[in-house]
Amino acid sequence: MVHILIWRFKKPPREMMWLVVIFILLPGIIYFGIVLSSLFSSSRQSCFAHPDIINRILTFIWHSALSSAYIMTYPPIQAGCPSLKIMLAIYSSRTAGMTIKDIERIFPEDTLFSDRFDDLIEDGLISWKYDAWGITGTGRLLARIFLTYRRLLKLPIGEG
Amino acid sequence: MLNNTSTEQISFLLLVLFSFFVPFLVQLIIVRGLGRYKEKSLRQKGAIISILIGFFPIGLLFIIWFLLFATWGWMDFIWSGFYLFLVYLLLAYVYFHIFNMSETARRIRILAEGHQAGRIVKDEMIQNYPEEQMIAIRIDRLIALGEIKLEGERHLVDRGQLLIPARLVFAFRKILFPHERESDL
Repeated sequence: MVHILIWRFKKPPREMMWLVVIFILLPGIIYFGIVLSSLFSSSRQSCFAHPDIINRILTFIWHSALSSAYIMTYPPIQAGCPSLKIMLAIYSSRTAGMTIKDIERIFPEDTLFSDRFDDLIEDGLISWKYDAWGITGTGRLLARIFLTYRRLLKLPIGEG
Repeated sequence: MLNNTSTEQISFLLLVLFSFFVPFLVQLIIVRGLGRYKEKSLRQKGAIISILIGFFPIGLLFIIWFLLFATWGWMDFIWSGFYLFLVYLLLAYVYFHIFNMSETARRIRILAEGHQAGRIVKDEMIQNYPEEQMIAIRIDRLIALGEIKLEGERHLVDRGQLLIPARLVFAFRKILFPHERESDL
């Protein structure tokens, strides 16, 4: 509901960052405050021995896991996942089915690449510098994380 | 000194934190160690299988934790097991999306290629990654997952398990972006 209300009112730039702020960072600060207040109010036991604190950490982990699952569902919603669009189009064609050419026609021309390129600009991951497109610091960090992850799995970078 | 309650809670917390890494560790063993599910068409299936296998070590560790540390009754065993199950399920879902992004996201491909090349030349990228190729890759993946099938030259729905998530995603997209054109949805 919070997501829908804010996004309907004004869709912010850097959407993923704002989702993390709204659903994880802000509640995290509140949980941290509660844990701190528990720490100050518990004089009998050492900080980690206080059962309430562990319970609150476990509650925050639960909250973060749920929020992360929600946040990770957002990119296909925002970008309009082409694979899911293909699925729905083929389903709509019923028994007639679709040829490759039919499937290509469901995507407006030149949008599959350009729209995602524009998203990267809007998210501050690439920028126009010295007459060329370059990856920003955040973009480079993200690229490194994914490249390292794929290298660890001994897999080449995905085909997109 | 920690008392019994604290020891069992802290050990449970460590178990929960460890569960964050289980899908990745299992996939590391399966893909890198055993060399399975490395083919393009099987990678997503490999991630799903890793997540499902991950339930076994988590369940085993949970039973060990209960036998070694827990002083609670059976109801607490059930509730803490249920908590761990749900947290693992959610984290596994997140992990699957992260893997999927590394495998299928156009944005990640642009970033990774740009980072490796040290520059981004938009026209060059469009030339190397034409839309026909993007669509063909997706069709191949859907066929490999058994979601659609090819009969002659026509594609038809096969298992169609992705239809429900697809409807949900596009329904939610319509709620969030009500002013978008039908063709963009």
